[in-house]
Amino acid sequence: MTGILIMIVGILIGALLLNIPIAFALALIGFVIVFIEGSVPLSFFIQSTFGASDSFSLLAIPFFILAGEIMSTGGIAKRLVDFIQSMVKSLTGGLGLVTILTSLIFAAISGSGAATVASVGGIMIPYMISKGYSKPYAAALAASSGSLGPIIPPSIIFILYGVMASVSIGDMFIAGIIPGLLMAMSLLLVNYFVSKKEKFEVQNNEVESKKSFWSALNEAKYGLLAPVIILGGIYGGIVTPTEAAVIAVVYSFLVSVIIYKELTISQLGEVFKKASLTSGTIMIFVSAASFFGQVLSMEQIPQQIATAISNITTNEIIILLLINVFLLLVGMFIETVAAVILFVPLLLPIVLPLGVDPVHFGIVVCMNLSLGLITPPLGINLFIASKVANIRFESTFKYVGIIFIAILSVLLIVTFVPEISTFLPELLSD
Amino acid sequence: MNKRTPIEGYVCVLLFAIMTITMFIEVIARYIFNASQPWTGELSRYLFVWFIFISASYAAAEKAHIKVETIHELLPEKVKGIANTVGNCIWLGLTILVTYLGIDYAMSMFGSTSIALKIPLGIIYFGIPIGYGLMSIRIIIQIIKSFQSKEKNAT
Amino acid sequence: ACNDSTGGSESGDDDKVVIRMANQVEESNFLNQGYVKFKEYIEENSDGQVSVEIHNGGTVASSDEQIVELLNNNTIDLSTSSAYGTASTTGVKGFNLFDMPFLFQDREEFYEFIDGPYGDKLAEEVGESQNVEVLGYTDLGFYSIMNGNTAIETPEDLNGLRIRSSAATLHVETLSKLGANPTPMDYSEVFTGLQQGTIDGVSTTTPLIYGDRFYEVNKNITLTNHILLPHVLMVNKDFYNSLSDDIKQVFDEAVDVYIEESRKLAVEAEQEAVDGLIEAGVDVVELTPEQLDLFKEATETVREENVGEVGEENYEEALEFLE
Ligand code: NA
Ligand code: NA
Repeated sequence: MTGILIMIVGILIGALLLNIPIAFALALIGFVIVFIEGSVPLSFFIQSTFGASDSFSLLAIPFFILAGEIMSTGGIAKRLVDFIQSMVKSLTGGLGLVTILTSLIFAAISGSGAATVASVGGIMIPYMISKGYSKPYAAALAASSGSLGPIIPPSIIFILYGVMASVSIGDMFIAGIIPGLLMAMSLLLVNYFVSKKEKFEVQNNEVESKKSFWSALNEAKYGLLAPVIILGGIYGGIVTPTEAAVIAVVYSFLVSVIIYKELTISQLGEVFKKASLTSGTIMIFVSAASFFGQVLSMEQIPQQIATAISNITTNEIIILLLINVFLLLVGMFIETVAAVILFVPLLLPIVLPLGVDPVHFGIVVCMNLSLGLITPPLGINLFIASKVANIRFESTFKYVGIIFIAILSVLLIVTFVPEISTFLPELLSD
Repeated sequence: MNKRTPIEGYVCVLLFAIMTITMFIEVIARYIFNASQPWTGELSRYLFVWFIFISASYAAAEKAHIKVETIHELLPEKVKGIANTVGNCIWLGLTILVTYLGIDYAMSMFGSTSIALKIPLGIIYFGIPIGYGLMSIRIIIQIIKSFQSKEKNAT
Repeated sequence: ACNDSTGGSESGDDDKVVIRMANQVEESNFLNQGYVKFKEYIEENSDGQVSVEIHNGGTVASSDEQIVELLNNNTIDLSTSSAYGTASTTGVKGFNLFDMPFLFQDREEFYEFIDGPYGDKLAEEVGESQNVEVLGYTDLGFYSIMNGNTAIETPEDLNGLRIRSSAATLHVETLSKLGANPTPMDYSEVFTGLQQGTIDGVSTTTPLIYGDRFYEVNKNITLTNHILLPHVLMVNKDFYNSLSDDIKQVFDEAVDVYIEESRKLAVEAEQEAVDGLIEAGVDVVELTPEQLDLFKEATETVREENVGEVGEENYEEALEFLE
């Protein structure tokens, strides 16, 4: 086994040095193993890549991406900001609070962290800066609030995890709600203390709203209804998660085009193209990496790693802690979708025999990886936010560090109190 | 900066739009007319297969595929360009191999039909070699461009 | 490299024959347990010359329809696939016959038919177009209908209910004629669908309904037994032909053992499922002969109307046998 592992890591590093996209680097490794072992024909790639693509559940991914794109282009995100702002009068760190809460709501519409930062951060970062917040803090806060994107349902990585671990995507979605809310609360706490200490204080009219509460609510009501329609549709027994994603597309399209009139036909074309590009990169990854995964599985690699680890310890707490450390490291370097596809098949055989609930484990995995969205060197949320704030992303590290510790504490609580994740799904099944 | 959209982009948008409409028809049929349509699930899944592989070529044209650049960035500046081109050549080898395997495989699948629509599965499988074939062309273009820019730098 | 002392396959060892099998179910499922019986028999009786790798849980074959493909190009050597999956991938229509509702009285009649000339004919047709050989037939149990509302005792009780079905024409048509609204939802969505009420019920084999714990969210099941789900055991031809005579003999014995044991396992699994469902507080309806007749009458026309799915000649042959 060690021989194959060394070869895998070797080819992977080589491929990344040569700047080969990681999906194809993985396919390449799969081919090399198949070629050396000679146990299956090369055409296994076609079957495997087709099998992974021909999936109704994964069809939800492009639809949620498309819905998110329409909502941020079509004026829904903007009105959510106005609405939250109209409720927050004079408070310490008031605009930070607006950023967090709006991200929380937008997370309930969009499926990814990047979409959440781009939509909410794009509006809030310049605004916070103009009201005297330090640039690094504004960027760090918007980036971290974006990490709520994949934890509050809907979530692209929950869909992927559900497919890979054979657990209900509906259960994954609902299990993310409480951990997501806890994350938001930890952000609110950090925001309060940092704003107090750094005196991002209320100058009387810091969050002076342009609109009254009622008119802002009236404007934002369609955006606020979106999560109700998506989650209500699924849990009210109307649609499957994939169909809910389609409904979200149609709904956001109607709101943006007919009600807000902020989405032109040419913009719609751009939105479709952008969503195609994002879904395409994710899905080709899924389909190429599944070949890699199946080849590893045929060579019994995940099982052997699981055995090796359980030979060291079978203590559930220690293993979960080790997995957390491992995933945090993974999250530093590897994109979330890639990380789920690569490591979930390796980790499941380790934890399932210990009696860990697969839904709970899924939440732990995804929280770890969503922390990776704000950790250097590869932290996509941090990139986007720093770009908006027009600063080097290293300058955010001071605040990111504080926020990281806060979310990490939530992650540890969620790891060792499975009920936080399993409570809602179980409540629902009764 | 009004960049031209590669042809794959338009195909993707078209497939995406049909997928959306098909799925929406199913929801309406099921919940409003209480008459679920057996073909909708299958059709949207098969369009999705084509969409995935065509969009992969689109992403190649737009250089949007997920990369872990941190490791590549470690290379000295001089070597990066060469490494990139070598990487592209290996990637090209892979996509050509998959195109070949895909054609071969799809041809063998014309005897099988899908369960609901009775479409020959070969047609669906052909999405793989078409997507990977287009991607090969995109990579070749990139390799040529990298040589051209090198020549330009030399002169 | 590390030495695998547990006796797994060593690809460097040319003397040893490795047989790869694949399925989509979890280890404890009776389908997989049947594979295990094959493995045990052939490994014990081949003086260590043969070892069997079972890749269960969909790690290699992500769907039933892929099995024939994987066998064809020798990614795997030996496995079973459902009759309708085999029909769809091989184009041998005769396999669709078994999706006709209430065709056979019981299992004995079904096996008498499929172990006879009809089964041989299907095997021959598969062999002509594919690189696989059909070795025999087993089953995964009878179909029943589970639903969340009320006990179904007559076809009227099904009126307008959204019942999840496969997309296969005969499955859809049968449920339609019974008055239900067949809903071809993706199987992975069924549990949540039942839980949330997106669908009212599901029609599949009784052991599957039990194994996938649908009873946690739906409390009524009717043992309609309208279809039996046959599974076809197939081997890659090149692989089979490459076996030495000694090993071929043990292999054939192991196949016989598998066929016998797996059929037993299916009957046991069905009984276990019914007992388990009752224990879980599910209202299990076993139809009286009179009630059953109502279901048969309601679906009588399904067969004649869908002869095209099966092939005229195949259908005639079945009718002839049944007379
Ligand atoms: Na979300
Ligand atoms: Na990171």
